[in-house]
Amino acid sequence: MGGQIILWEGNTPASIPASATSPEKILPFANSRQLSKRDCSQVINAFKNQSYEMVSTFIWSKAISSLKAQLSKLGTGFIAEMLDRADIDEGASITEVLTDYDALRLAYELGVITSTGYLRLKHAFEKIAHFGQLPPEEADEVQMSEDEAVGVIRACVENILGQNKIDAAVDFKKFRDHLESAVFEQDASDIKLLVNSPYFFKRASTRIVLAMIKSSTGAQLDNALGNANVIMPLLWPELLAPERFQVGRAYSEVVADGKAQAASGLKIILLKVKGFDYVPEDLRSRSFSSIARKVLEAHEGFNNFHNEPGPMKALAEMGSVIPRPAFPLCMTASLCVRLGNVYGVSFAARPHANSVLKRVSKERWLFYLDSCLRADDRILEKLISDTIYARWVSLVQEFELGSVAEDVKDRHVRELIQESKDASKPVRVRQIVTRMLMKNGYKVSY
Amino acid sequence: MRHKHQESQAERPMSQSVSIRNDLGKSLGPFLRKEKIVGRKTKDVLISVVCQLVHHKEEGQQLFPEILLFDDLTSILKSLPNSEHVVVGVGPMVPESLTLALKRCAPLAQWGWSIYLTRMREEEKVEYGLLRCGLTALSLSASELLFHEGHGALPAILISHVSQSTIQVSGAHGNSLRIHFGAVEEPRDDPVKVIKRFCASVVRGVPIEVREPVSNFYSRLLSAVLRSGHGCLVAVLSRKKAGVSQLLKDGVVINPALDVASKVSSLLRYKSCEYDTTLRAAAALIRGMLISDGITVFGPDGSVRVYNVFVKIPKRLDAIAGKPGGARRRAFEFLCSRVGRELKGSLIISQDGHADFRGV
Repeated sequence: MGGQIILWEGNTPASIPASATSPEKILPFANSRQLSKRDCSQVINAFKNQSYEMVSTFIWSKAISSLKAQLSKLGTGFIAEMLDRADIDEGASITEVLTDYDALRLAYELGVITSTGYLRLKHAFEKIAHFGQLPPEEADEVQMSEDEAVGVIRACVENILGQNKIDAAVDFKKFRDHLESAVFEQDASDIKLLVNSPYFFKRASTRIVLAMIKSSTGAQLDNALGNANVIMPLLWPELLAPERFQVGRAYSEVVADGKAQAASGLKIILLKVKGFDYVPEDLRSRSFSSIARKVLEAHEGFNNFHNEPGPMKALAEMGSVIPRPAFPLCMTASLCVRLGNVYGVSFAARPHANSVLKRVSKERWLFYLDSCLRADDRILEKLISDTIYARWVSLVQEFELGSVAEDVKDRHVRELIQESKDASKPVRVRQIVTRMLMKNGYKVSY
Repeated sequence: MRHKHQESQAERPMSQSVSIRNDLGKSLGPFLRKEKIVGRKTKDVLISVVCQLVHHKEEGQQLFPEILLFDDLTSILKSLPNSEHVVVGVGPMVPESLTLALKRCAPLAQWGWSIYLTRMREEEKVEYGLLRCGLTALSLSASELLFHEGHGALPAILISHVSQSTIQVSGAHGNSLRIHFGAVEEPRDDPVKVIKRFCASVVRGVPIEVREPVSNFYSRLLSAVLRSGHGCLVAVLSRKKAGVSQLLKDGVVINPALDVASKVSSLLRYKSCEYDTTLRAAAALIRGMLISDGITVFGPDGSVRVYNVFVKIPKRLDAIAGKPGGARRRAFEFLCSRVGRELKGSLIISQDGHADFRGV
């Protein structure tokens, strides 16, 4: 994000010297309230016994539980809105419904961890998930290496277990508190910052405001609506379809819940931005979104190759036409399955993903490429990997996306597709994707 | 003889014809201007609808449909989430079409359905049918979204039969006109606003996160009672005690109390059909209690505690006993005298569409 103006930044990670390359040297940096001395000595002993996977999994589960516990303090409604997950109800336990991947993304978006921390933790998670799903016969042959285990321990201690208190970034909290306690002027410095920020902050701010409108009452609701009235018209021209649908769905939900004041406020905003096309017509889209979420949960969880086919098959069999509000998420889910991860694809789930993708019309492909892909971080992050890039090229060829891309307005997306017509330019494609991710506010390294 | 006859004709007073249409036209003109709705035909349509609606009966039974009048059906439907509509017919913009529209649609306009009339400007025609929106018993209705939470960018007019002899015409800009066809003196307060004030009082003890939906729930229920022309009398207890004061014990005590707030809370939390059905069932029960004889008593937490209560006005309160009005009005005056003590408030809705609330 070099040189870009940003609203908040992640908390500084624990400073572990680069020379610390063993658990004995890294674990002293762990906070004793998060990792007891007994835990530390057991980890060191297990490491000495070369139980690298066991140690990594233990440290990971400690770190991610701590992270989820901290995130849950922000409130279920807020978390559900930030993740755009209408399926999480107010009474749900965050530690149960939040996947590890979601927890990491959210922690990054709220400034709980830095972009580098997010990247390292994501790599650590991928390693653990990969080694965890190997069949027994393969697991005996391919074991996690010492370096890989050290990388996991370091990432967890540095970003989570080494922190005195895991908390959202101070700037983020100030911004959120202000949204509830007072109404921003259109020319306020924070609003100017927001308008000039990467997409990531615009998306996060939209979700924060919507979460507040749905959960606040009284003066706080007045302020949240007042701020939404200032912020949304400024952000709307740049908001992509998934976020616009989220605003439309929030309106639909407050109307369904009988929250007249919130409904009135959101209606005024939708009238201002001419956004009623993004209000879902019925409940069908909810069912599609819910199954697509299950596909993503399976894809981003442990043992993904085994768990993907069930929900992907269900999504493929739901109906030939996906309702527009659910379309972006269904595309992300189907593309995730089709492209797989760095370790391969689920052969049982892939035909079902293909079946969904084959039914997507040219107009809808254009809509996805033009209005969704630019901010579809899940898919963009995948394209950085060489192995996934090869599968992406075959997808571009199979669905003749080159001809669709001619009508795409976004320059980066158009270039990305054109350069993916054959597998000859992996470096160029990686550069384009990196630029797109950085424009969205993400740090990229490979 | 002829001369005599001519003379007697001249002396005889002329018969005079008085039509409510003229007065209505005079009032609707400024109303439409404030609502930024133009066109002479709109005024004529509106007058026709109002006049037909007040006496509209089907098989001898009076109906109380809500009628929505607007230009752009597509935009209106887009602003009503989870909405659906049924086109019933199209006809020229003449009173006969409206009569037919009312005849065909009014019996269907119940359980959340409203009649709509939309102008097809290019063809000078009117399309009519039914529309509804919402998912559960708590969802805001089409009229609530378009008018109570209305916005000038979506111009529309709502014609509703608020009580047996009163028609209310409201606009998206927030202007409204109440038209009384009865012989009674004009009520001072808008009964719908009185009901809203009462609901705000009933839900004051309800957890804040469900206060608004519970208030809307009761508001809709009492508006239905108002329209049905039954009248009702309600009291709200001031303290959250388990028992009911001696004063109101002469009735059917509901044990355990009908806890509407918890039903609303469950529906909002789980959003399941099961909780929606439970809430709708509770609404039907409470409506029955409200239109039963006697007083219905609410707890300060929005629960329903007792119904079918009759109070005896003590002799020392001769002033109340001697007051004009029926038994319900006198009972209301008595309940008002207890506000600030065991009662927090009391509401009366009379058969003629008059509503009065006293309390906090």
